[in-house]
Amino acid sequence: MTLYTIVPEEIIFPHHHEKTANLIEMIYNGVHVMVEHDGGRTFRIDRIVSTDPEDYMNVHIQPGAVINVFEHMNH
Amino acid sequence: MDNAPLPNENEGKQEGKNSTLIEKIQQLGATNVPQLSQDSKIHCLTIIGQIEGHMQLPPQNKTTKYEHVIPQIVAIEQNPNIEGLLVILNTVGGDVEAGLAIAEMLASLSKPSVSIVLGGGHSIGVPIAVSCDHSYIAETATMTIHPIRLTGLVIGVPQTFEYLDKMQERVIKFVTRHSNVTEESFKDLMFAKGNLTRDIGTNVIGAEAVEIGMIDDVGGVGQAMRKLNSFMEERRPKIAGEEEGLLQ
Repeated sequence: MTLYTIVPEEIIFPHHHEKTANLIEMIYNGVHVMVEHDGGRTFRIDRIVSTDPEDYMNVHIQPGAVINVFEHMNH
Repeated sequence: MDNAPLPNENEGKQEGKNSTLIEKIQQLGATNVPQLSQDSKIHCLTIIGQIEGHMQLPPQNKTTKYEHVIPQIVAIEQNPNIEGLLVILNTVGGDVEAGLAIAEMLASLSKPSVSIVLGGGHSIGVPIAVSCDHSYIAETATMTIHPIRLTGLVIGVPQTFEYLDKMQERVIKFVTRHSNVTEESFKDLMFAKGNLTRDIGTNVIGAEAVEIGMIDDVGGVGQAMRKLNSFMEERRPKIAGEEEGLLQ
């Protein structure tokens, strides 16, 4: 792998690894999002992975929004 | 297919019929493709942070992943409702192979594409910026042109240098083929001394990138949208049976 970047290598690969953000990718409501599991029944939206500008206007999936994907599972 | 504007009704509902939500969540690395029907005519691809290729970077790096971007470009090419692509760059560079792959995909896209460099479009961001049909750079945005260095294991043999030189040649060839900058002046900028504090190379700002012919115009999202709309207008008569409508 060859990296062609202005960021110094020691910044990209630090010697001490901080706690890793545990991001999960999922399709939520038809939109590809990356979420962080908070340990309970909910997930927090970290970022939207979409090229459709409309997806970014949806207030329910704004980064930071908490979603409950298990809501409909017990029905 | 779910309707995006009505999220409360069917929150958590998935498209697949038989697979459970848990299975969906466990399918890591699966990507969403822009769906038919209610799509916007212009889609927007944002390339931010490090461009990530074969190797997953440590989590404190903000990255744009190859496996996300490539399927998205394929979907944009295939989806007849999408008429244009706006590429927004604010990247510090990244993997050469992944960056060139994205640039090649954008260059061969049959639909109109316009790029804007906002903030920065450094290193491997340069070929991506020039790959679109028309490129813009914000007045304050910068692009760093510098030589490729090897990271990781370096064996001190002449072949190492040759390999590096070949990698660099690929970038130079792509940039000169897709923009008005000449190979000579691009190399001059790449090997200039005294401009960067930690490296040889040049940092070009806004209008300078236009002067050397690398970027087409100085401008922001307004100009870029106008350009994209005019490209789409030119292309429209070719699409049979397309009804006329206002663009979003």
